[in-house]
Amino acid sequence: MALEDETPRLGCGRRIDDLWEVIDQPLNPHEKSCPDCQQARVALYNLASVTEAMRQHDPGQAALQPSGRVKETIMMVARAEVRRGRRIQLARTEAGTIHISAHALAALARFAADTLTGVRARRCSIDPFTPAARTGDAVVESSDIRITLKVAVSSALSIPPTMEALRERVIAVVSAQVALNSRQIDVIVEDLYDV
Amino acid sequence: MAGADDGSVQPLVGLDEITVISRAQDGDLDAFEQLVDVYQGRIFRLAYRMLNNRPDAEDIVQETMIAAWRQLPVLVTPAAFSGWIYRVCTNECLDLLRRRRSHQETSWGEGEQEPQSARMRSPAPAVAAADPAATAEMSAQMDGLADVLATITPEQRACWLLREMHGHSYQRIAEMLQISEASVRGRIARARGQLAEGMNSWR
Repeated sequence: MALEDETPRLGCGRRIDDLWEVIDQPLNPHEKSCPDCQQARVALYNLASVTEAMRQHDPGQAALQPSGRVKETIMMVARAEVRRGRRIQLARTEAGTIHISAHALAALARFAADTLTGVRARRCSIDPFTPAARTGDAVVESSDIRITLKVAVSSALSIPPTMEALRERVIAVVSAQVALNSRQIDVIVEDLYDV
Repeated sequence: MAGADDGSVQPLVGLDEITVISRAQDGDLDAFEQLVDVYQGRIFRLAYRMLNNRPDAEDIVQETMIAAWRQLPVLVTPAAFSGWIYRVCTNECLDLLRRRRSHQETSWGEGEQEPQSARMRSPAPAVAAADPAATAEMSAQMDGLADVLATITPEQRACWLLREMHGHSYQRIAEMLQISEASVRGRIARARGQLAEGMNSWR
C-alpha cells in the first residue's frame, strides 16, 4: 500500500500531477528540452480528451442506467419497511379506541406546511411530553404529544409573519384530526433557500 | 455537492435536495423515490465502470439504495447523504472485487470479464457530430479507455472514477474512502499515468 501512495514521477523526476495541471498550456522551457515530459504530455493530453468525452457521454446513455426492475425492488422493500412509529390515541368509542400513527400525523403536519407559499417542510418529530411515555408504551394520549416541525423558508419572505401563518395553518389542519392546543406545536426554521 | 454530478437526471421536482433528504429521513416514500431517481443512475455508472458487469452493478445499486433507506433516519447531517451513498457504493464494489479475487486467483480483466458479445460497447454519441469519422474514432477510444480501466487496481479505479467521472474533490474522496488525501492524490496520479500509457499501446 505504501508504494501505491508514493507520488508517481516521470523519468525526469517530475510529478505526473504537475504535468497534468498544465496540460492545456504551452510547453515551458523544461518541457521543450525534456523527452520524458514531451512523451507523457502527448499521452496525458489524449487521456484527458477521451476522459472528457466519456464524462459527457455516459450520463446520457440509456444503456448506462439500471433497468426499471431495480427501482421496483428498492421501492418494494422501502414500502414494506415503512416505520409507522408510536401510535397516538385519538378517541375512545364503544367499539374501541382510535389511533393515528406518528408517521401519518407527521405527514399531515408536513402537508399543512407545504400549503403555504415559500415554506418547505423538512423533518417532523412527534414525541410524548412525559418522559415515561418516551420509553414505555407505544401508545400515547394525543394531549401528551409535542410536534416539532422543521422547515426551510424562502429568503424572500419575512420570517416572523411567515412563522405565525405557518403555526396557524399547521394547528388548523392537524387539529381537524387530533385535538391539540397551540403549545403542543413547535415550528423551527432551520434553513433559508434562494428563490 | 450533489451538483457535482449533474448527469441526465431530472431536478428534484422544484425542491432543494436537503428538503427531499429530510423528508425521506422521516420515512416519506415519495421523497425517497425522488432520491432513487436522482442517485440510481449515478451509482449504477460508478458500479458498472468499477465492475464491468451489468447484473453485478444492478445488484450494487439495489443494495446501496436499500441500505440508504435503512440508514436515512439516523443520518445526522442531510448534506452528508451524497458522500455517504457514494462511499457505500464504492465499498460494495471493492468488497465484491475482493471476493471475486479470493474465489478465483485470476487477474481481474482476464478471467472475469463477460464475453465480448455481452459487454456494452459505447454506442456512437447521440448528438451528431460534424465529422462522423471523428465521432467513430472517439467512440472507439472510449471503448479503449473502458478496457484499460479494467487493468488498473480497483482502488485506483475507484479514486479515478470518483474524480474524473463524478466530479468529486480529492478531499471528498478521501472522506468517502477514509484514506488520506495524499493517498487519493497518489492513486489518481498513478491511475492517470497507467491509463495514458495503456491508451498509447491500445492505439
